[in-house]
Amino acid sequence: MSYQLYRNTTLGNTLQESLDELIQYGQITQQLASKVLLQFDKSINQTLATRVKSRLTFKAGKLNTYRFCDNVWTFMLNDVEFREVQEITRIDKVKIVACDGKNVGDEGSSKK
Amino acid sequence: MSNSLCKTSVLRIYQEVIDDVVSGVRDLFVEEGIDEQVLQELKQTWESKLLASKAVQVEEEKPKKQGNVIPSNGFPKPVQHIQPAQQIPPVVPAQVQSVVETRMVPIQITLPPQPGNDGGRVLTIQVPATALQGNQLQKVLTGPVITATMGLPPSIASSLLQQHVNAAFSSQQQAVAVINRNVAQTDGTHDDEQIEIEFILPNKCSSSKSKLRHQRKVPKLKQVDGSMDTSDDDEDGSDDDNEDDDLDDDKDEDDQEIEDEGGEEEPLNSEDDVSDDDPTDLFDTDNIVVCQYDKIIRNRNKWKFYLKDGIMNLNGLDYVFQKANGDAEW
Repeated sequence: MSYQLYRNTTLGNTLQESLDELIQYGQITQQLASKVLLQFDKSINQTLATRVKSRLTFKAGKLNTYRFCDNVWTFMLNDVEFREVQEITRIDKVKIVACDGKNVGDEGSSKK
Repeated sequence: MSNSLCKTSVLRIYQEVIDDVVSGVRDLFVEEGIDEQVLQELKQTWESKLLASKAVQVEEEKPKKQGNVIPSNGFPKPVQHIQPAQQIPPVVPAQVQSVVETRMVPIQITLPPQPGNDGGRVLTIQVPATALQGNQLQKVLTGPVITATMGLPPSIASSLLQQHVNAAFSSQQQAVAVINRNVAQTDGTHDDEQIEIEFILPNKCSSSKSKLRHQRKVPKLKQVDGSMDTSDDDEDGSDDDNEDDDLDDDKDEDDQEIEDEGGEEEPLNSEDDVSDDDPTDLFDTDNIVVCQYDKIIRNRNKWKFYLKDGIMNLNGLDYVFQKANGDAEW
C-alpha cells in the first residue's frame, strides 16, 4: 500500500544513511533495517496523504523529456516556475518522478 | 517560496514521520532484543543528518542539535559536507569504554619560519591522548601535511591540521572522532598539559621555487576532504594560469618573485574557500520532485500535470505539497 519512491528524498536518504551506520557497528541487522524502511514507506505515504495541505502550481518553459514506464512517469522540465499564492521559485531544470496516485490503497501492496 | 506553506510545513511533516517511524518500529526492535537506546540513537542520527543536509529550514527553538554540525574556525561550509558521514551519536554502547579512556590533549606544532611570514609559528591542535603513545601522531602528521599548512595563516592552518588529525583518527577509532570534534570547538581551554612536537623540515624554501608552488597546490585539497589523499591531478588544472604567469616572470626577477608568491597565497586560498563554500555547487545539480500523479494529459505538444503528495528538493531546499498542477510544452 506504500510506494517506496520517497526513499529517494532528503528524509529517506538520511534515514538510510543512519541505518547503514548502525549496521556497520553491528548494532542492527540488514533485515531490521529493511523493516524500518518499510515502516518509513508507510509513514511517509500516510503523512503526505493526510497531513500536508499546501497546494501549488507550476509552469514550465519546456518539457524536455518524458518517459512512462511501469506506470511511473518521469519528466525533465526546463525553466520552471513554482508558485504558491504569491511566493515564486524559479528553477532551470527539474526532474519529476511520479507514481500512479490511484493505485495507493486500492491494490493493497503496490511497491514501486 | 520561503514563507509559503509548502516550505514552512516541511519540518513539522518530517518530524511527524520520524516520530511515526520510531514508534512504528519499536516493537520490531524489542522482538529482536535490541536495546531502546539503539532506537533513540537511530532517531538522533537521522535528525542530525537531516539538519546537516540544510534542506530543512531550522527554527530557533531547536538549538540542541546544532552542536553536531560546525566547528567554526575558518571553514564553515566545506566541513559540513564531510561531517554527515562521520556523525556518530555520542553514545555507542559497544565503544563506551574507549570513549571514557580517550582524553583529548592539546599539542603544539611549531612551524619553521618561511619567506613572506615572520618567524616560526605555533599551532595548537587537539589529539586523542592515545595518539601520543608510540609513533601514531608522527605517522598522521607527515611531512607533506605540515608542508601544506605552512603557507596558510595560523588559524586556518591549525583548523586544517585539526581536520586532518580528526579524519585520520576517526578512521582508526570512530568514538575518538566524536570527542575530537567536540573539543575542537572549545579550542584553547584545556592547556593544562601542553606537549610540544617540533617538526624539522627542510628550511630552504627560497632555494627552490618548484617546491613553493607545490605547497600552494596542496592546501586546497585538504580543505575539502580533510584527509591525506594524494590526488594532485585536479589541482593542476586550476593552477595552470598562475604557473604560466610565473614562468614569464621567472627570467629575471627570481628573488622578487618568491616574495610575490608569498603575497599571492592568501587571495588564492581565500578564493578557493569561497567556491568550496558555495552550496549551490553541491546541491544545484539535482532538483527533484518525487510525487504521485492523478492525471497526466497531453494535447499535441501541450502537457498538463496533476500531481499530489509530493516532496521537492529545489536548489537544495525541501518542499512538500498536497497538490501541484502544472503545464508545459514539449
